[in-house]
Amino acid sequence: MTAIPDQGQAALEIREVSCVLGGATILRDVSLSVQPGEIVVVLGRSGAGKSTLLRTLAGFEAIAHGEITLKQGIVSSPGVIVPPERRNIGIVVQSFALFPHLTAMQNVMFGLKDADRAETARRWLERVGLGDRGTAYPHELSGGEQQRIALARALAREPEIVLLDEAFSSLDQQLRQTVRGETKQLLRETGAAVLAVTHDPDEAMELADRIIVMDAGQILQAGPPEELYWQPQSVTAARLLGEINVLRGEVREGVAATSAGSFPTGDLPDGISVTVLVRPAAMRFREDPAGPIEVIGPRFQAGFQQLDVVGSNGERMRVSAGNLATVEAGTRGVVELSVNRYSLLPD
Amino acid sequence: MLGALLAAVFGLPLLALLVLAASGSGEYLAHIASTRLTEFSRSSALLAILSGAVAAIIGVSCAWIVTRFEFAGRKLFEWLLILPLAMPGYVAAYSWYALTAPGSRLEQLIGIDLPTVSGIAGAAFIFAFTLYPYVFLLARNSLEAHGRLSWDVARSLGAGPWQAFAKVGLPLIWPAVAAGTALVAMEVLADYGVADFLGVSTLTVGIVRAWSSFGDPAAAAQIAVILLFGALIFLGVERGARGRRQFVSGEAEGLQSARTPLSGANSLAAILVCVIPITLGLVAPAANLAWLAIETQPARSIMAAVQGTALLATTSGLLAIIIGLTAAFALRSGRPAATAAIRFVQAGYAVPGAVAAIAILAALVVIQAGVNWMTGGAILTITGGSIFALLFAYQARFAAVAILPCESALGKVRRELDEAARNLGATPRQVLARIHVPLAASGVATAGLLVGIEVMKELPATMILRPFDLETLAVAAHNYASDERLAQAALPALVLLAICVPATAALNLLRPNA
Repeated sequence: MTAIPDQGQAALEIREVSCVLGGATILRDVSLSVQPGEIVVVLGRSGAGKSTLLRTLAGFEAIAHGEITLKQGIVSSPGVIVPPERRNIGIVVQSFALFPHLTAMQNVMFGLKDADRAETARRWLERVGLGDRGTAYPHELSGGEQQRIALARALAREPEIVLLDEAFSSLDQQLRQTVRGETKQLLRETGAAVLAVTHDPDEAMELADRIIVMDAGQILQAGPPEELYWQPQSVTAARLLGEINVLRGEVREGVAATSAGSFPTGDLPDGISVTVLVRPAAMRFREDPAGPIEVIGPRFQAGFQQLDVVGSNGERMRVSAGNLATVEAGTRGVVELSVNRYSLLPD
Repeated sequence: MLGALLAAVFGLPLLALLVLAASGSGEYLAHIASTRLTEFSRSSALLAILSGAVAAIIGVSCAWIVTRFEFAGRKLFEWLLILPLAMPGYVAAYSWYALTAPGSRLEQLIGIDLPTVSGIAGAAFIFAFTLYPYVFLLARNSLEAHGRLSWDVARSLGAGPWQAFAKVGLPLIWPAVAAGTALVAMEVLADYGVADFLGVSTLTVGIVRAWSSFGDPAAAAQIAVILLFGALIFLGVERGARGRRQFVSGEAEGLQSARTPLSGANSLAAILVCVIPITLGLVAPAANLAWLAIETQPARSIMAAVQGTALLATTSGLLAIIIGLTAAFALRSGRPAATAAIRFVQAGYAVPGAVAAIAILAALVVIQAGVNWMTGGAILTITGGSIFALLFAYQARFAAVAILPCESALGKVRRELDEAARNLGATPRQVLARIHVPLAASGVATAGLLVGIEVMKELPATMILRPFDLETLAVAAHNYASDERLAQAALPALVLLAICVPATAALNLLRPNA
């Protein structure tokens, strides 16, 4: 694996970009940058503006405000739009957009100009493990094969930037994980700056060096996957990455007391109310007949057990079971909290 | 922008038609209103309904048989049943009249007095057996789309085969049948050749007579407006039925259980049901024409007519490709205004050829009046009898035939393919050459060929607008037949068939309404 270079010149820089389509503002003041060799994943619900972000980068959509800078200079700003073919950006989209009248080989060759283009294309077909499928037409390829051809086609031109637009979403669950791993490996080898968008938190956490959470055309939070997962800065961001317990409490003497227990609040002033965001995996149930927590429903999820519990004030939450022993509804107990794996949001 | 321009160009003549109709003294109209107008309207309506009903019965029976049963030659019949569409109605009319006229060779041969094919009943017979493929195609596609699951369920609930057909089969395909029947009715309203030859005074016959015998364009325009309203009613029926068809289709894709095999007498009966329309609509009249053509010394060469037909068909085909592609690109832009404009142009297929011709003449008259008024005299004399007016009339009438295949061809070229190509370094021009053209070529060629075939068969607009020295096969056949020289009409009619039947055979599955 290539180490991620520190602040060198970014391969891609977006500054305060807004995009308006058909009268609706799809992107609002979006700023981000991607370093060469870095994989950044934009996570958001459908309609959050993720795909539009990629389309402005690729040069398919104009922007209303801000600017997009690549190594070659400013490629998009209001009134300026360098056409897609002059950006050296590779893109793989959800439907793969393979040309139906061209073979796999011809698809990979499409963007190549030099004399040994056939040789280059053949090498890429082999690199994605499809050296023997060059003469097949797109409809003769399986979904996974189509995805790999689309990837080979995008990478064969050695782009400085690769955009992945829900590039794994049309594959079935099991295939998706395999292809994802292979793709990440290949992208690392090319050293390109990668910006991927997805609505799938697993995909984001597996691929990303850095995750950017987007909602309603705005960036909510950005950071390494672990930080985003354990310390989300909003309920929306928290929910996008997985299940979350939202607890209410009041700061008193350096801690916020909630139905699940006390969370240290650092230098927050006494007396204010806070929302505490904490993952079920950071809360472990321990049986205690005198405890304030009551189990209302055990849940079994592949390989580990979670419990739906209710606190003394009626707040419901989901926590992980302490061990594999079955816990009956009605059991009482306490919750043990992991250090630093929660967020505090002052009201 | 492009769409609006197309709509304006094609919409202008209709506007001029209304202006011209309003400008007429109404003398002729008052005259025929007191004498013939009721008859024109009644004949047109009766003929359209009668032809549509018989065509629906033939089309649905054949569609049901080829989609639900397996018998010897089923696949071949499925294909042959479409071919009578290549037979121009007036050609079938000449041939059937020659076959059944009192004392004809056929009557002498079999020694039976056959009812002569003429009048409203005769015309309905001709239309039903040459136009039923519209119903057949739509009904067959609908039956295939629905599969037979609902039919099987009905049977399992205790319905006999006929009951299942009436209670489940027919209601499911009803929208398709209604749309197909409306198309038949629209063709009947637009017809001139059959009605004129078999002595049925329809509105179209009235238009051509008002124009050619009485030289009264305003009166022709007035009747044309009435006919246009009639055609729009059927257009409404067809559009309405189509909308519902989309709503109910796609219920049971992939759930096709096998066709029920037929054997023995049942198999023979199925074959007979398929053979009858093919024979009556195509084989018998074509064979008779061939016989007549072989034993008749042609009065004069038909080369001029062949050349004229070839000129009009190829030019129209090329124009259709340009217009079809322009419209398809405008539709692809997805702007609501462009879409509305193109849909308006497409409605032109409901405009009968005679109406289109009169409308264009009306536009020329209005423009000429404008020029005269501005210059105070006739500096420029625009004539109706020019090849440009004729080519324009064809495009106004057949634009829909050209637009649909182009639209579906470009529809295959999804926008993301454009984007992928651009992203891979192709310029817009390269995208056109490397992606659009190869993907859309077959659809575009289809558009050109379809319009070419329609133009070869077209009669009333050609009659009204053609320059006097331009001969076509259709006009030659019509002129001979009108003079009761049926044997002489046989050769040009046969040449027309020799071009249209193979072309239709090759294209029949790609027809816009298929």
